Amino acid sequence: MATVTHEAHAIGISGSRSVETANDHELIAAIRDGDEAAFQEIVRRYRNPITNFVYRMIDDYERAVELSQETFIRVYTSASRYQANYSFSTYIYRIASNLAISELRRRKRRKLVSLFSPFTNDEGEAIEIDPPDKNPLQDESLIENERRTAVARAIKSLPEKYRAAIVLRDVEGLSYDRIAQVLSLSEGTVKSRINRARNLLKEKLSAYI
Amino acid sequence: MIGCNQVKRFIDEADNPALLPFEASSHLEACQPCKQFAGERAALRGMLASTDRVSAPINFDAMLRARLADRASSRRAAWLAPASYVRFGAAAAVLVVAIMAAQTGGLFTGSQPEAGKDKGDAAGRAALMPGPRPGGNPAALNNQANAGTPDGTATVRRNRPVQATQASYNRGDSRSIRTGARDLSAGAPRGLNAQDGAVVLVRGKDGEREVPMPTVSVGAQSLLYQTAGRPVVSNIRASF
Repeated sequence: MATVTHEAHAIGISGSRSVETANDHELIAAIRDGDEAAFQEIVRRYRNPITNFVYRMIDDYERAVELSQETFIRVYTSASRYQANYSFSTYIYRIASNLAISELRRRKRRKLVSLFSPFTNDEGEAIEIDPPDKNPLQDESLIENERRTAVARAIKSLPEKYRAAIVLRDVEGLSYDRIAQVLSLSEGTVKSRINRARNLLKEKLSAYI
Repeated sequence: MIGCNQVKRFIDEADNPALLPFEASSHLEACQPCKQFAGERAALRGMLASTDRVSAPINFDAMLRARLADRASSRRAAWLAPASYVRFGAAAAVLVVAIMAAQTGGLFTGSQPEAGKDKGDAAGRAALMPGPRPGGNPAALNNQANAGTPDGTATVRRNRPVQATQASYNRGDSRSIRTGARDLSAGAPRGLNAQDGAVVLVRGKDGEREVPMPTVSVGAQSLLYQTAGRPVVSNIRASF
């Protein structure tokens, strides 16, 4: 931590140097010193990847935005405790992953029912009424929409431990060792979970592969 | 020469499905199932990588700043909030009331009620008193039983034969519990019978004593303890 602070002061990040060219460690050190511009730069760099990652985990855009904001709040409030033992992206993805998994478990406990599904089928299960769109669609875009919907549904159907690993790997493009750090697992376990997740997805998406 | 399982592992773990170790690439040229596996994996990974990516909303930064400001101000005012004092005071009041109620109910002391103050236990204490012997003087017996017991609880006389009625003993009445060898048929009946409860034989250095135990009612426990060398039976006032 002392090394990171020294770097930030030596470079003069809060003064003459632009935050856009500073690396993540330098930005965190500047945040610790109260540099608001450094924090804004961190937000600008990671708001889209973090929002996308959380959205893929919980499949709820509004809640994903809230959780990604909570991620940045925690980064800001715990900047003094950040240690540069591993990359900042690993650190922020870990926070986001924990929040997303907590949200999934909370939903599982509460067994949320959609407010937009006041209708039930013969078995008493809530069903969503989706009125058909009367606008004509071209075949290609229709197929593409179907494929995207199927992929999203397949990812959502994965158990949370497989979902986190496969999203970080194949959607966000993180390496195995970084995924292991984010999820606090061994690399072998990460590889095993990703393999299992791909096998499950292959079964669900066999029509499109 | 590597096997199919190892090749599939290489395919799965490769950062770029198109870039595999030489051994794996050579295997794929000769093995159709592995080649099909590689194709399926590449298609799946491509599909996942090209999923629609969502972006943060335009007002994300503004919302974040507002939440940060909210959190900072709520932390500063937390100690001054009147609600916190009210909550603390209410919690302290509940605790005090609970302690007083527990003390009043005797939960902390577990002591026996004083004689004459707890009328509800009178029946229980009466059950401990030796009843009239056939042909005996009930008053004298009661005086005998109460000798040395200013608090009115029954005591057990030393070496006193105990009457658990022969009938109840014969049928193995569980209320007549005998732990030592006693001559039931001998000795004058002392007034206690099986309906009064169980009898416990206590062996001490001074000899054996039989201690009548009153019937245990639901929620109450009888306690046998020593006071100044005399075994005393009493009912604990509070129930559990």
